[in-house]
Amino acid sequence: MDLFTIVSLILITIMIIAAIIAAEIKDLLSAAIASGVMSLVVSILFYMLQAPDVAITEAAIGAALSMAVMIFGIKSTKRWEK
Amino acid sequence: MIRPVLLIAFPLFFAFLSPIIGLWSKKWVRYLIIFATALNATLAGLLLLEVFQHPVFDIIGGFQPPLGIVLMVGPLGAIIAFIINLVAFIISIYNLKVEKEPIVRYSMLYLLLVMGSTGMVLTGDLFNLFVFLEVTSIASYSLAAYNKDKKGFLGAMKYVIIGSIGSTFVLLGITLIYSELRTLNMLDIAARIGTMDPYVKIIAFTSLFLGFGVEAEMFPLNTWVPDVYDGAPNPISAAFASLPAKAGIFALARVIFTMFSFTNFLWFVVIMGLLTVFFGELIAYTQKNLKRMLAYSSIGQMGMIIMGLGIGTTLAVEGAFYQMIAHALGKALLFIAAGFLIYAAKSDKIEDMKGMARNPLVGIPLLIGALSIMGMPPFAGFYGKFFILMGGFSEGYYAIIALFLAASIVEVAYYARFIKIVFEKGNRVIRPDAATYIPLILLAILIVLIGVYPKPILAVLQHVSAFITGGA
Amino acid sequence: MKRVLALTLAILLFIVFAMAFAKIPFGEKMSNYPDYYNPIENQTSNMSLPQHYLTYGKNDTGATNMVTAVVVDYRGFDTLGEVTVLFLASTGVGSLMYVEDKVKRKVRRSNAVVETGSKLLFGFIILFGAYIFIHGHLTPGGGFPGGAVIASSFLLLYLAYPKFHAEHKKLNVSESLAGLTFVIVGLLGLIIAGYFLYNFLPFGLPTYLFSAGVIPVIYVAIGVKVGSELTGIVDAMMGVRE
Repeated sequence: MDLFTIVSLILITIMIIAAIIAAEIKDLLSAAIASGVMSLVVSILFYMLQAPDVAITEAAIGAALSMAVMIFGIKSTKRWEK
Repeated sequence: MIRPVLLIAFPLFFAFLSPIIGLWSKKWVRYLIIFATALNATLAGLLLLEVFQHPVFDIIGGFQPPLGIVLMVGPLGAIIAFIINLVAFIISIYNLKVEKEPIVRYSMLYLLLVMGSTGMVLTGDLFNLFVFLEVTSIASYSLAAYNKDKKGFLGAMKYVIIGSIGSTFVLLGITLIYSELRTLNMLDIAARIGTMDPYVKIIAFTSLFLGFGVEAEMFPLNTWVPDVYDGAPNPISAAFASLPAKAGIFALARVIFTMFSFTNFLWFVVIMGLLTVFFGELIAYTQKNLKRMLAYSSIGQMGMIIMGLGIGTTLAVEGAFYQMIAHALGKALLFIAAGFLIYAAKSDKIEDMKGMARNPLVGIPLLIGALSIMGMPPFAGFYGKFFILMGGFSEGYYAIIALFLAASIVEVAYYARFIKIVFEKGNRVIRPDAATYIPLILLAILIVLIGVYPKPILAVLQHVSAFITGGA
Repeated sequence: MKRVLALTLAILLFIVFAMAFAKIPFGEKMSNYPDYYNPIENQTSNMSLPQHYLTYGKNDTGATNMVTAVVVDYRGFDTLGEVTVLFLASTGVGSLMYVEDKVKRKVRRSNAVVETGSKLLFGFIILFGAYIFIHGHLTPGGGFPGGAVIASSFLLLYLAYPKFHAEHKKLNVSESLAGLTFVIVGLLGLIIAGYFLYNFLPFGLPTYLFSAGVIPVIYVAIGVKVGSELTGIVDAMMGVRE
């Protein structure tokens, strides 16, 4: 196994764990942050797969803007899922 | 010569223009939307006359397909686009009744809903179809919640979740097709579909079928329908039944016939259609809320169209298309009438509407619309059901015919009950205003016209046999 | 019970799609791809679609960045649709967050370090975003990433100055003007050459800033549009503050 495969496997594992956390956790703020982490890892993977423009978009929209919008939404409703 | 791309470019232009006009006058934006839809309907009518001889291909960007995107309009696509834009124009008159702010954004969303549905019908490129599906569904999500009450949000949320799952399936199907064939043009795919791996082909077809099934209100994916139709503003309920639903089912027809070139009996599609019919009609019978009853009836009608496509003979597919046209006109009429009845009775229960339709300006169109949806002979809805039945009969699918007839009887029963209540002697009669009765009368005239003089429609539907064998 | 069913369904779907994707040879040589077929001229080409883009893309569009060539020129109509999707999303959020009786929410000021730091950074981030979309036809990037970066600079201002408000009217006007530019460029192509979204300006020398015809114009319009739309969404979600 070369370095590229090892790094991508590690990143994919982090991505899957972050996705499961985002879906399962009862604290919505943590869920929003976990989905942001997932987007960040995905953007690194895009960069490794030689798609830098998609990586910039994913980092800006997935990791920053959509997480911020979700946090604003949580702020005006409730933080804990019942 | 009319270029099909104008049908998409002009609404986009007006939609982008309306926020600027809205800075001066909100009233003008409403009239601008009526003008834009009227222009679109006219262009679609002219396009229909033009494509009679041969299908029109509109190459975009000057790149030959499959390098670039191409719009592919045959007679059937043109007539569905024409009906969509015509109904959109008629409903845009009824839109004048909407008072809730922000009206400028509402108008833009409505115009883009029309644009997206038209684009889904006209396009000849698979990914472009997906883009227009997204435009249509995102406009629908926001319009469904426009009332900003509990019902609206509940329906819209259901719609968002199911709609996103459907879009994901469509995208997965497109990915599978592209990674096997390296092309996105529908005719190119159709020419080389035989070289695909059979398993990949089946999975791709199922994904696309399920994805477009969400818009076409197919059985397991239609739980959003009653909540959305119930919670949306009245003109939007009317628009949902006739614009995105028809565009979705036309996209299904494109997938089945143009791309995958299935010509014989498709048991999978027929069973889905039958389940949809029974799900819709039986639940509609139990409903007490008027808009929910109409929504379930709409599901049943869409199921009949899906069945017609699945039976796959020329006659049955002709019936399916006829039913699409009749249902677009009839259901829009009934939803507009329902909006008036709910306003007059100040309640959405059918039992509270005793005698509300005794004013002839509402009553006569309402009666025509209901009879047409039931499939009574002199009106538009008759031919659709009749052709689907004959199509199944000539191929000997007697069991399916029997089930279809049973569902139709249930449909007749609940519409008859509804008509009996609204024409009973009631206590008071309310006069509708012009924005309500003009659309009703226009739609009623169209339904009678198509029913009494079906020749032009039948002339267009002659091209069904070419459509089934993979033409435009 | 419900969760078990949902999990089983998810795993089943995963297996079905994984089996389908396993049949597709990823990372294959491009020369092994099937050749494309032109349905209008009714002829089969001697190369596959991706190969055509890579071989003739520079001549066809004048753009150095092949992703841009495909996104804005070959499939520019899809991009127009995608821009409309964003426009719809922003309009929809605006119409759903609209409130008639504006209840103002009290907010605290953030501290001096954050305020000064974001004031300093704001200009640079805007500059970076503008760079990304102006050079979209030369280097990786384009209207969507550039617009998103610009919107994130406004997000920084919203976080640092809780009372900050971007003016709605200006946002709306810039977003509609940018959209109108895109549609008008398309219609001009229809008038001049007979094809909607035709690249009617001269291509110029490749790798220069003023090259590739209408692509930079469209990308600037997209950048402005995406930037103002995403800012509008953030603004609507923040609500009314005092």
